[in-house]
Amino acid sequence: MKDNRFSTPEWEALHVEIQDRLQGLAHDLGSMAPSVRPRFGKTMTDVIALFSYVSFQRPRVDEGEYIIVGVDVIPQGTQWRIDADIGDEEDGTIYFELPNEPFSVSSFAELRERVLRATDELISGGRPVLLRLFGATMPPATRSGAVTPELAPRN
Amino acid sequence: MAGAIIRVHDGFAYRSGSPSDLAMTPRPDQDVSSDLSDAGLSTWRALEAAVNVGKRAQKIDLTKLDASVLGCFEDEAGHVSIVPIDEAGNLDMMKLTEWAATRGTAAPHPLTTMVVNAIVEQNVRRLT
Repeated sequence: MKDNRFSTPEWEALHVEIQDRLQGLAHDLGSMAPSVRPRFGKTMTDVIALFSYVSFQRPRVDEGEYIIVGVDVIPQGTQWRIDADIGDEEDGTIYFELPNEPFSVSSFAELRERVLRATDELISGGRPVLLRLFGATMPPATRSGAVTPELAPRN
Repeated sequence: MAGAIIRVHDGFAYRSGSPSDLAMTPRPDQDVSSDLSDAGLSTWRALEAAVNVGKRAQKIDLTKLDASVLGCFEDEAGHVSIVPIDEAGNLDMMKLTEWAATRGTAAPHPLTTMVVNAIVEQNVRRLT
């Protein structure tokens, strides 16, 4: 069951912060591939603490029509796990993901910091993968943040 | 799929993909069918049948679905179709069409919300 140590307003506020970062990613992708339409959303239930995401529809592809970039904050007993990845929304393929070892926190502020750090890492590290999926290329530095040299698209 | 299809009310089923509204809503072009084995949300009793190695699925508790509005129909291969039903317990094509039409829209259909709320384990990965 959902960890009820933290309040719904706290989760909602965290969702807004994640979405703000994902908006930047969507803006970057949209500037390179204007036909790609983002769809922002979240899932929060008694079991799902917070799944905050943006999904992009790929026009005219045989498979993998929807690519989802999401941050899933998952209770793991007394610990937490963050699944931050880029995947196929429907068939479950994972194209890019961060390590997701469980960890403990002493406060929501600490959890928030970890989640936002993971979001930033997802965006910077997964950006080249996302662009490749949409057949776009992009300069290494945009408003989404700097891309480390080893992750920057190669010409 | 072949063989008998029976209605089931409990246990778990796996659906491939993410725990998003879109992934938990039938596709208008492919999942609106009068054939129970092709209709509604496609799920599987076994994770191995739901996804290939390395992919993820969502684990759904079928007892959390309101049996008066959603029916779960399982075939001999372990495929479970989750579909809207009428008062007699039969596939309701009108409701299925209506449900699928909300796919990708801003406001999730109540049946989508019901399925999302029935997810009891997120992002289950098939490892082998």
